[in-house]
Amino acid sequence: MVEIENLYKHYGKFVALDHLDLSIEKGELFGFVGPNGAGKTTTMRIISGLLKADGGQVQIAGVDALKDSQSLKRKIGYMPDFFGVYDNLKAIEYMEFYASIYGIVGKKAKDMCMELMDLVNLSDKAEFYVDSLSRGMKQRLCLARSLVHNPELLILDEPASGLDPRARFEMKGILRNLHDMGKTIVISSHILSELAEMCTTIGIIDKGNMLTKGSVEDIMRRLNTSNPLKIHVIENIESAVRIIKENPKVENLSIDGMDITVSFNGSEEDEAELLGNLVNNGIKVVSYVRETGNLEEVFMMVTAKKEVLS
Amino acid sequence: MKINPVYGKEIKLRVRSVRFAVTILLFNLALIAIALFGFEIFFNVNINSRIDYSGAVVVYFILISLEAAMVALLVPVFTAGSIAGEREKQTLEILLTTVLKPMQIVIGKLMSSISMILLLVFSSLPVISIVFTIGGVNMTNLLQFVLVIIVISLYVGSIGMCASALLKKAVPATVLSFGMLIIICVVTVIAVFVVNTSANMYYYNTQNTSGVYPDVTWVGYFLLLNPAFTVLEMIISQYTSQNIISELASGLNGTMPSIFMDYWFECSIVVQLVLTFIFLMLAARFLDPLRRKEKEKSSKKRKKKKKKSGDVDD
Repeated sequence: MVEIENLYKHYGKFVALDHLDLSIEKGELFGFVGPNGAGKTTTMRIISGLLKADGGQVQIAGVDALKDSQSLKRKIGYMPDFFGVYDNLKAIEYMEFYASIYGIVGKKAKDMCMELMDLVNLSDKAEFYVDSLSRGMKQRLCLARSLVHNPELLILDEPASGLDPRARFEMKGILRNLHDMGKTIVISSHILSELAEMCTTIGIIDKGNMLTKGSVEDIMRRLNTSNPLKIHVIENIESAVRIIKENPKVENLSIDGMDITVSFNGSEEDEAELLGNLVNNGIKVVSYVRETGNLEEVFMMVTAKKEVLS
Repeated sequence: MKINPVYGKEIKLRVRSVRFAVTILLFNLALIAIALFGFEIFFNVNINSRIDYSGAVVVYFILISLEAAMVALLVPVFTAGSIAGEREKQTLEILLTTVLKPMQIVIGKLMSSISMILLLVFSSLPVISIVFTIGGVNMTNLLQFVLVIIVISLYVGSIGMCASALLKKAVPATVLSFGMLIIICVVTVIAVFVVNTSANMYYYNTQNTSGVYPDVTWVGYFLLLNPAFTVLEMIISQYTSQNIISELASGLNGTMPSIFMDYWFECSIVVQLVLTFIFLMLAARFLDPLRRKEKEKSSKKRKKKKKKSGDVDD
């Protein structure tokens, strides 16, 4: 659905996107995560036809997004991080206005708009003026607005920013529904845990580079290999240390009583092999575990240590 | 008939407000007061014991001059705030991701802005037509006035749209619109005077009155851009049948082709419509995010600003 190759964008000397590559499959709910200034919004604005790229290629549903912006706009629905509404327009009129842009007018437009407002749980607010709605409702209305032309790809830039927990929960539910309906969704956030709960795939971006991409579990697993192994034995600690040191994947270790902390640069298979060596040599191992980090630690680690993912 | 969606939405928003109905009412009341005052002066205040019916025509010219001035002053206010206003309200970005082309947005905004003004003008036609009860003005004169008002609205409106698409805020866009309007309406007249005076000084001081006056009629063509001069020329030709263009040309020590002498009004309308088209094309270009050339400085400033506010553009 989305194929980005070598995408480059700079503002003066500041490189916002540094030859970014990204591929998103049809039907994915892709979470685009990175710290402020990482290049998320720049990428989203380029693939939405709002910003000119300085280099690279972007294909959206078979359309060259950098050259054919008119065709692109029929394929995408975009919701910016900050947006305004028109005073003195009712919610249904707001929806009908955007429907009219795509040539949908009259009863057909009204029915479709009501259907979309129902999808975002706003059907009872149709006759309310837009500026009287809460921020969460406005976000949902804007989401419904982005669906009026039934786009194949939804691009949502921080849709949950500024929302209270309940509104966030509602937004997540709506996005899951849309995903179940087969929509491909790209959603950005600087909070990894927010995306991890609902996205099928996440990509972590920093300084215009895609650091990693995959399912949350996959990324966690890959990142955990850079965490130390914690081994607890009940006797023969000297022999255990000797065996561990002989393993070529071990970078360094430290001993605290009967606890050994090992920097182990190996895969899960390598871990199993080391454990097997210890046990086969008569070492009584009672605990052998790779330390795991939480999502926020993962995020900090990825953005701080790019090499762990290479 | 398919209505431009932006135009449809804008009209709905504007006409819905009570303020608009009150504006029409007050505007027409003001015109009626001026017309009645004019008639009172010309017909009932008998200074020399005779009635001058040509006074009715003067009232007509005062009314249409006021309306033309109102159009020239109000249209930039409406148009300059239109696109810049969308930008300020953060609604423009969403519009630009729809299938609407920048030119459709510009046309929709321009038409909605000037249609409000034209509604005011058309609502005042019955008041202006009071003069028909006396005579001195015919239907062609009135139609010519309507035509010039429409062209001025489009012309001045396109300048406002151009400024609105170029600048981010409504206030600077309005200031730029009025700046451009002053250049077109005032600077062109000053240019004619300055060039003519310089030519005469050259004749008297350098040539010691022995040669010929330098022909500077070329500067007169700048007045084709000036909508105020178009209205002035129209009023004078309607009122006196005097050809002020031939007088202008001789004042500039030369002559102009007969097409300009005889059809100045039509020529200026064509020139102003061509400029309207150019300004609208420019506005659409400024609005197109993929064609607009980003200035490095402004981007850097924006980033610094956002970093300060802790809300960085990612």
